[in-house]
Amino acid sequence: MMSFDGLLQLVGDVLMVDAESLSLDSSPETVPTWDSINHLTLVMAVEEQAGVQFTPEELSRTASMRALWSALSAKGATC
Amino acid sequence: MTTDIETLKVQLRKAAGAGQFNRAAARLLLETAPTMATAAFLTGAARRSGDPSLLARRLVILRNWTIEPLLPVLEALAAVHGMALRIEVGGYGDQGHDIFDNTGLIASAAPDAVLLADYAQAAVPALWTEADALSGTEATALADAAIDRLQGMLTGLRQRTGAPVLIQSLAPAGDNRLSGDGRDTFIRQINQGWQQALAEHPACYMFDSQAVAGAVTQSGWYDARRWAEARMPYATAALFPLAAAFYRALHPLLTAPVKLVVLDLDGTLWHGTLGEDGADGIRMDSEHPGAPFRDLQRLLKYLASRGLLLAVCSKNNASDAMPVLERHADMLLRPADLTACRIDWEPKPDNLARIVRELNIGFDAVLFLDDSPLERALMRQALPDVIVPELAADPYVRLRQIRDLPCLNRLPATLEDRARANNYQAESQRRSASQGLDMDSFLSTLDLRLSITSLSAQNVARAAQLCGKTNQFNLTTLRQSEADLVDYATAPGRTVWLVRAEDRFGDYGWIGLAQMHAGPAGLCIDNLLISCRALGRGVETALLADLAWKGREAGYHRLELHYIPSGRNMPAGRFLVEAGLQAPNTHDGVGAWLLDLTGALPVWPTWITRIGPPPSLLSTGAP
Repeated sequence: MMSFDGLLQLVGDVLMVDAESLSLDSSPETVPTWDSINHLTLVMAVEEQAGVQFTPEELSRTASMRALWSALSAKGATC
Repeated sequence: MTTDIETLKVQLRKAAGAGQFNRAAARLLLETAPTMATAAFLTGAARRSGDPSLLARRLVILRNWTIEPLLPVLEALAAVHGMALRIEVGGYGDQGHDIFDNTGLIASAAPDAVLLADYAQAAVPALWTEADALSGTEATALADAAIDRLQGMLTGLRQRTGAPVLIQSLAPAGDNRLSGDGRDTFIRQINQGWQQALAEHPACYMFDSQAVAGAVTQSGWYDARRWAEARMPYATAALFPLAAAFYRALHPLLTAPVKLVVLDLDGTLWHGTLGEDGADGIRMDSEHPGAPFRDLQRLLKYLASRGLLLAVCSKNNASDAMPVLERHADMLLRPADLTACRIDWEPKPDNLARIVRELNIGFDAVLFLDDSPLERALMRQALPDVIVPELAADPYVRLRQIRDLPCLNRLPATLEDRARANNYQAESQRRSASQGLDMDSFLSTLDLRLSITSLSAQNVARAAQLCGKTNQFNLTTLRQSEADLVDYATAPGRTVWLVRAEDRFGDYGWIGLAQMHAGPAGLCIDNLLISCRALGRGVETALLADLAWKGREAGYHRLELHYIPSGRNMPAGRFLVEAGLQAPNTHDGVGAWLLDLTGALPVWPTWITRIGPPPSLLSTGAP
């Protein structure tokens, strides 16, 4: 499973931004590279890393750091 | 020997800060953790490093599925192999425009290699939507159409670029593993036709999509939900293996293969230790445990016949080892196959460096294969440019790893093919003036048919979905619900049009929408959008033409298209410019774009057939 720091790192790597610039409040509004295509890449990378699977509904609901982390926590990830 | 992922990442970050991409550490990291996360990390490290020793290469991908999640893996693998790979991806299903149009990617991007990424469910949707209703003749006609389409694309590519082209063969139906309803037979038929088509076009190669089906078997490679949601047919677990297979196929299109393989003997070319087991105790015969060693020798012998140089670097007594190389009955590799032999007790990096100097080649053109983790680590440390893959202790696994190394992959034909491709390009450019294939005639072969009708109970759900999901070609990005649309359409003086598309390959359903009302000065288009599935084939022009002609017929003097830039709907903005509309006097183009209906009007594209007339418009009160 994945830690919050691990998630920050992964989001930073996929979206090509410094992980330190990201927080629980990051979202497509605050990160210009977070578009729908990169969101798909991000979700697939998270699925692979955390060994979980998101439904299409979760895919569209998780387009923010807070939503992604809470969806991941619901599947058993811990800080 | 365990490798600490975090230590490698620290090394890579440090090197990137100093303007270098540490390829040895990157390779080790990717081999230790072959995941998308690693690939994304490495892509970032390579870009940040700006390492000037990475060869700049450009790959253009023309596709009809969402290939983007694979790109970090392709870019990371290319960086590990010494390339700064820039990847340009064409619009979804936009291959015709990207190949034939002067504003398309092929004309604008100057690619070093092209990947045509096709997915069956997008290329021939009728095989899914009408699978049960198709007669044999109809299915054969579909297969023929798909073959014509590839022929057209290859002809167009060869007229416009000499870059080698990799074609993704159509994957078998992913939801068809047990039922077997005949789709796979047609897909095979199309792939065979494609294979034959390739033979007529130089430097065009096929990537076998079936390969990934073999790599991921447990849960299957197909994800029906993700296909429906995002036009990404592959399951997460299939992504890295697929990207790695793609990269392996692309590698020889992008850069030169390795020139020299330096080989260890004990435990690498044969099972056992010569110094302990003796010449009779070592094994490289066809039975276990000799079999994987014999297969490796066979592979190397084949590669040598294709021009790869082989050398041996082994810690042994030459007086013991040479007789084995010369005379052992089970040896396939003989001294004549070897460019150099260094069999002594000197450090291997020293011996390898001597061989490389004698041959006058670069260290980055050398692959070092040794079963000893210690020797591999020493080599990486002493000569970081030499390609030193991590290898499994199990010789069967190791054989597969070596067979899959991208740097050993060679094109089916020789490099002369590339020169031929360039000649062919020049030749066909000369001919194309008179008989070449242009975009119009290519698009004509698709037999695109459009129907435009009013909003109704049958299409309102889809219309709301289009409003919710369309980002690129969407003039306003107003997200409207079914109720919003019904309210709009039932208000006086307002109309909503919906556009449906089909072509030889199947029915694409409702793909476009326009909302309009009669304004004081003209016909006001409050919203207009087209799904990216249908872009690049003139649907937007056809829709605008109908609005303009119908508007004129109803007595309007001008068309006003309302535009709200969203940061993601640039394609819609570009279309307004290209279609010759007059921009509003605002800095970012927000507002009403005008088309004078008393002058020349946009023309319905010749390659699109109309099904039924467009709905009439309420005529203006004040002509």
